[in-house]
Amino acid sequence: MADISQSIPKVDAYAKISGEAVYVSDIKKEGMLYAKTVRSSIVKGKITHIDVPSLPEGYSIVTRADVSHMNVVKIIFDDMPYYATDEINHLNEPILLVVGEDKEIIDKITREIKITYQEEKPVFDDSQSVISYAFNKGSIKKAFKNAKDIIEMTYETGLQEQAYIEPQGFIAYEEGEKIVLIGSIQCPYYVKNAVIHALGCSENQVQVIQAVVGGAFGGKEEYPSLIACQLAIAVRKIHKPIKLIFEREEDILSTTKRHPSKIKLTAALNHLNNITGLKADITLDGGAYKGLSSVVLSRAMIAVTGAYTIDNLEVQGKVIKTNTVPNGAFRGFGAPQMFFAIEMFMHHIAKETNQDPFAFRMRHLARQGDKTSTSGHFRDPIILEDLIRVATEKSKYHSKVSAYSNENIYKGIGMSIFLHGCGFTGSGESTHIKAKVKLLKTKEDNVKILVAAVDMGQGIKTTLPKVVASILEIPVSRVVFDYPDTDLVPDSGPTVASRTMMIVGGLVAKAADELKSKWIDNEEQTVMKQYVQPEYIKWDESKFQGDAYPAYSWGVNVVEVAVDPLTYQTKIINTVSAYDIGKAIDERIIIGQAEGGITQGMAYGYLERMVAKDGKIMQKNLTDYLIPTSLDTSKMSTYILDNPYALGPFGAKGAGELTLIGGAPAIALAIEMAINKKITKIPVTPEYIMELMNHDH
Amino acid sequence: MVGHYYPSSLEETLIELKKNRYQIIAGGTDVLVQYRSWSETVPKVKYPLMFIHHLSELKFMTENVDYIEIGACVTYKDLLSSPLIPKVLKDTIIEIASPGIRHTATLGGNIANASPAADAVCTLIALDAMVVIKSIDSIRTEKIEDFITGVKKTSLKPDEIIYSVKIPNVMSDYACFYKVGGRQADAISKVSLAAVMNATDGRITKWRMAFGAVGPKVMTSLSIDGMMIGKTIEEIKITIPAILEQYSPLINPIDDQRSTAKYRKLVAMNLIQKFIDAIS
Repeated sequence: MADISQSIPKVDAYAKISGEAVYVSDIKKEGMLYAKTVRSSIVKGKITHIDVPSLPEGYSIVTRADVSHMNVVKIIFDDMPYYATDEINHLNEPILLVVGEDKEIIDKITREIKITYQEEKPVFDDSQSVISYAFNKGSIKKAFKNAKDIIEMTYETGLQEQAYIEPQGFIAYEEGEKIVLIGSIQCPYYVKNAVIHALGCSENQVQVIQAVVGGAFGGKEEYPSLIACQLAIAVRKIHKPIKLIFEREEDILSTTKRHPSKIKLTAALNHLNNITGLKADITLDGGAYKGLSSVVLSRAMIAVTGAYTIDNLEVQGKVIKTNTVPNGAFRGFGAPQMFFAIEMFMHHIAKETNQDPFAFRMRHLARQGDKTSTSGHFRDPIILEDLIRVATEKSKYHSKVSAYSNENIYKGIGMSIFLHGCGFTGSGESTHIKAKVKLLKTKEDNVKILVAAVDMGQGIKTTLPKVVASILEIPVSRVVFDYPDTDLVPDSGPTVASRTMMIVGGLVAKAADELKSKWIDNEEQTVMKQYVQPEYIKWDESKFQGDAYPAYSWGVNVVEVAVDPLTYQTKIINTVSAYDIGKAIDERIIIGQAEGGITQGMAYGYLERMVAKDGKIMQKNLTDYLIPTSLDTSKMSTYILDNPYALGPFGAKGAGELTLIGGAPAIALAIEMAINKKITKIPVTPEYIMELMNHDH
Repeated sequence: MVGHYYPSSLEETLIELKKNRYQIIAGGTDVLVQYRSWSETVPKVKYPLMFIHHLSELKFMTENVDYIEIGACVTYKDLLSSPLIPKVLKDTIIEIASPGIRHTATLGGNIANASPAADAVCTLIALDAMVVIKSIDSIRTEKIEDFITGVKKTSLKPDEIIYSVKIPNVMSDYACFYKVGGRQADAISKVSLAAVMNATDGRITKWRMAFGAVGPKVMTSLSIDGMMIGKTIEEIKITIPAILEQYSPLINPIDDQRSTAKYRKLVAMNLIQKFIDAIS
């Protein structure tokens, strides 16, 4: 049999390139109505009155008054209403829907609705802490008491917009007692459970179907539940199919983004100039509602030591509430913020103590058997030194470091070393998700994969069938993996946390093994599998102690840049990456993930700038919020080193988020070398570089 | 429905413009963005649309001893492939937007839109280009910097249309366009400079500069430029700080969602220096 990594054509490539793929906005239903959202025009305050014009026949408004059960989006905390209450907490908060047949008339009604408010003073500073966690490792006191040097730095990161190609959207309709929702989503069962929670109905009264998804990046993890709940209420009231598709600007102005962060790090160094202790104080701006912020914070905190081992830790984290659009899931989920801070800090400590930054980082690398930040263990082999060797050799890192150290060359090279914990943080997989998967063999001996995993471009529609076909030794064309429909597939969990191939794919592989062992030609057979956490993995959620993840993927990015000393613009010259993702199920798909991931990660570090001024997002479209074009990238070389993970299918671990995490610190370090100034915040825009370069004058 | 008129000739267009008020639309890459509305609804334009993109009378490129003349509806793509077009204008166009937009956007449209950040307008001003404006009963010619009067404002009257752009048919010794956008392609300029210089026996005979995105319109000053005439290139190179000071009052940018006033001002100054460093 051929090596599983050998690429096959992506199964949905033709449909997407030819335009045959059916996205939610392409779907029309008999008698379908449209909905448009009316949003708050203030940042904080109370609604005192809503003046609705007299509505023509067939047109309705839907507000919180129509909610019969729960007006909250089921995420983690019950704090975010899907139809605004009297209390407005951020600009563009959804207040009501206008529903009807003719968009022009709906548009006119939305403009005629007058809402009066009593404005209150919004809060944008860090005075409102709504979530706080803390954990320790070893003895921080002793480390600081015996320290030869103590170094402290504070790092800041900004907002980042997912900028998926396809905006948020759903169609909802009734089928008898049931509400059916077709949407652009990552997590069909999150949507289903949120709607059940909102309506107070039974499980069989809600069906969620995934349409083709045009990109998500975490932006379609929790946010779609809000629209789904609004529409479910609207459909229950109006009893007709309703379509709600966001416009680009509406999407940017009202949906979740990456949490801005402020991270203070304090290190204790011993007489060997090694870090013996690290204190971290991590603040994430959650925006107006908590959403997933608690879990984003957990991942950020657990990533505190980066890809290094530090024996003594004191880690504090908090989420602050501000009157801005709520922040939420975004590829990397708290890790990109923390890795930017720790990677810059490692470099800055070395510089501060006159050490070679490379040697300093190498001395602190995590090794197999080491204790993780939460005192769990790195059980599996770590091939970080191989990854570093490949990435530095292929990029000529060392010779370029010395060549660019001279002043007035305005070129720099930066390296980031990073890991990503695969799957849900802590015991999430075993206690919250409990993934189930099913394989169904038809009488014709075709095999259907029944899971709730969503292909949002990352290629799971190709790679899962490939896993099954390889195990069963049948052609991929005989394996069917349709877009999930909650009436047909079991809950295999959300498509998040780099878990799909490792966890869902692992279960699917187990099911395929079993199916193979009991295969009977021309007979319908089904196999079901449920996730069981490996016995040895222990996690204490309240104390942040134990194994936070079942496995880790690792990566090294080397980025080379030139900075124009007249325009302060950064140009990327070369990009080299090496990854350990266990085993690539399809090499081309992984290269796609790797190139897209580092491009998005580097852009987070120097290009993508979003600012909320007094609660108002200033970059409201893709003219002003710039994401990289192909001309903003350089040659990209990606090396995948095999390091099979025993519990992953064919040894595969997580890959989706890993590839984004190292981009920002690598490019920031490269720019730091080019301009010979200390960088402490991202994005490193030309305006920031100008400030740094002209600081002495 | 949006009212619209689809003329079959320039004359018909001008007659109709005399009778009724229209929003003229050529390539549509500005008009359709400005009047964007909820998908599948019609744009909320103030006046009916007058389509001119197809008019062959506006799609010519000619050359005589004095001028290169470009019809208002010649697209960027067509300009790029014409041997008549000065290199600096092509260098400018290749930095504008993306291939898709360059395929339909027109030179006349860029002038009519009167954006302070318009790239082609910078270069046209530095080349001393003029706009030819026609109505059914008049024809007039105006320097581009005078035709554009402010942010999105021109001297175009409701019954007039931009007919063509005339660029003096002279060689430039040095002609550069520097664009500073938020990314490498498909970005609106944060600041830009078009600069043109001629010299005879080391003495400056022509000096023109036009700055984008640093004021209410593309900024240029014949009187400041005039101070360079007659100087030697060496004199220019050793008096850079004084020259920067002379141009400084012309550069009055603002903070916005794309950049800061401070950055725009400093980079505009740096671009002048870059041009002076390039000449010899």
